[in-house]
Amino acid sequence: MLLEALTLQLGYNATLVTIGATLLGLTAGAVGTFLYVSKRALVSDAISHATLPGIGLAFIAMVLLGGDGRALPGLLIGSALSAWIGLLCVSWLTHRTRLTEDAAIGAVLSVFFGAGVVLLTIIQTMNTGRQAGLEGFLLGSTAGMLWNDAVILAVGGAATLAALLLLHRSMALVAFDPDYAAASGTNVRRVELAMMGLALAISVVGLKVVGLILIVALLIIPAVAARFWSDRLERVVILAAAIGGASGFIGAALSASAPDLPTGPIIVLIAFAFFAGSFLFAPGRGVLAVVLRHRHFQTRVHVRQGLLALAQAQPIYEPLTLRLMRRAGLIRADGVATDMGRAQAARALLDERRWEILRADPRHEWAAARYDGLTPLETILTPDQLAELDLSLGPEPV
Amino acid sequence: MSSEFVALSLPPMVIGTLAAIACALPGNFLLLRRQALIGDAISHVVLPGIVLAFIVTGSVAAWPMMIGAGAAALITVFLIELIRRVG
Repeated sequence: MLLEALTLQLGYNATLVTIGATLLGLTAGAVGTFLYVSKRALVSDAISHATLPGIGLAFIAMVLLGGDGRALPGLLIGSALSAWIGLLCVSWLTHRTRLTEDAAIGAVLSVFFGAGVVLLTIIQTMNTGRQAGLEGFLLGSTAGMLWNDAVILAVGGAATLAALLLLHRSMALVAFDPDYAAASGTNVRRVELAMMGLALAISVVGLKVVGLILIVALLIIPAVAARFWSDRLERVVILAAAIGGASGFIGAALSASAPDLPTGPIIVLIAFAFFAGSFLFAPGRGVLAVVLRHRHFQTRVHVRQGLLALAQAQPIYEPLTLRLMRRAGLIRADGVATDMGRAQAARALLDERRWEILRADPRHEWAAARYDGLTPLETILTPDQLAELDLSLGPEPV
Repeated sequence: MSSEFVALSLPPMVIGTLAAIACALPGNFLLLRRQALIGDAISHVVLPGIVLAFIVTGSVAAWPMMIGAGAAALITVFLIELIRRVG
């Protein structure tokens, strides 16, 4: 069943939802990277929650004008308008009052969402027909997805990607160095509004598939997961788009393959699985890589200090040092040094003495800055410099 | 809209007032610490806690729900700190 779902053979609706979710994930991942990088990820949460009153008002308006209350284009336009008003409110609260941005986000989010819930409750008691199903916009309702919905998704996603291609340089500049951007003529306020506008477009387009509560997850999680793999913005954007698209594809296929699995939440859980995998296993920045790097460093430090203690005939008490040196074959089981251990200890002591002389000499200031207790001096100085340094080596004090 | 839409009854009003007071007091500290959205995060995370409490106890009584929600909130705070420190 799952294999058929993954190869798009489970029927019209499942295929439509899977392709739509993949497109949404691709676009959301790319846009979300810029939001994450400019530290405005949660403004998209406020935007998506602010779409709810717009949906209710659009429904009421369309019913009062005599049309079909649940026509998707009308609902999406209404949601976009109220989300835009919410965005302007957040911007106004941040720039004109003493509130910080997270307080403004929290206020706008909850007030607009509460107003939306009240409107939905009013709609339920209205005596016009066909008002069931508006709550489907909260968590996504893919069961009744039509060809028109998929077309809206595709067109909206493509337009957002095109806008992203045009604006990505300005958005990156404003995200990383807004002062330089302002000084070199970029209109910072307008670029920020454009970035939020892209987030708004993604929220509106994704209402049907993942719903407004979870669209922020699809914007943030792929970007954060991709961040573990690279430091370069272009690579993070592409990887975030790939992770978003993959979670959309796998999540939609998984929810189609078994009964009673909601699509939006499953997509978010798959994205979280990607995040957990990246968090733990990304090479270089993942938890496993950090732990291994720390243990490698710890081993080097312990072995170096153990060798210095051997060379100076000092006893070693630390059990970890003894264990590491035994494992490296530098001491025997009873703590007496082997031949290799004595040779390496002598070399370590020579290196340490050379460093001592170097650091006391003001002519070698640039090399002295590279002392970290582990780097051998032979890798920094040339042989004739080392020979000149060795002339200052005196006999060991007894 | 029927005439019963805004039904004024005392218990929900008292509960609402007391809950709002109880939420507003710690909220001052969250605002000053710039952690206003932790409230949003915790309120979303109590949902699996409540569902798990229902699955485990099989009843919708208040105490199991609250214990489940509280446990989920604690796990949330722990996970937030973990990701901030390690990630």
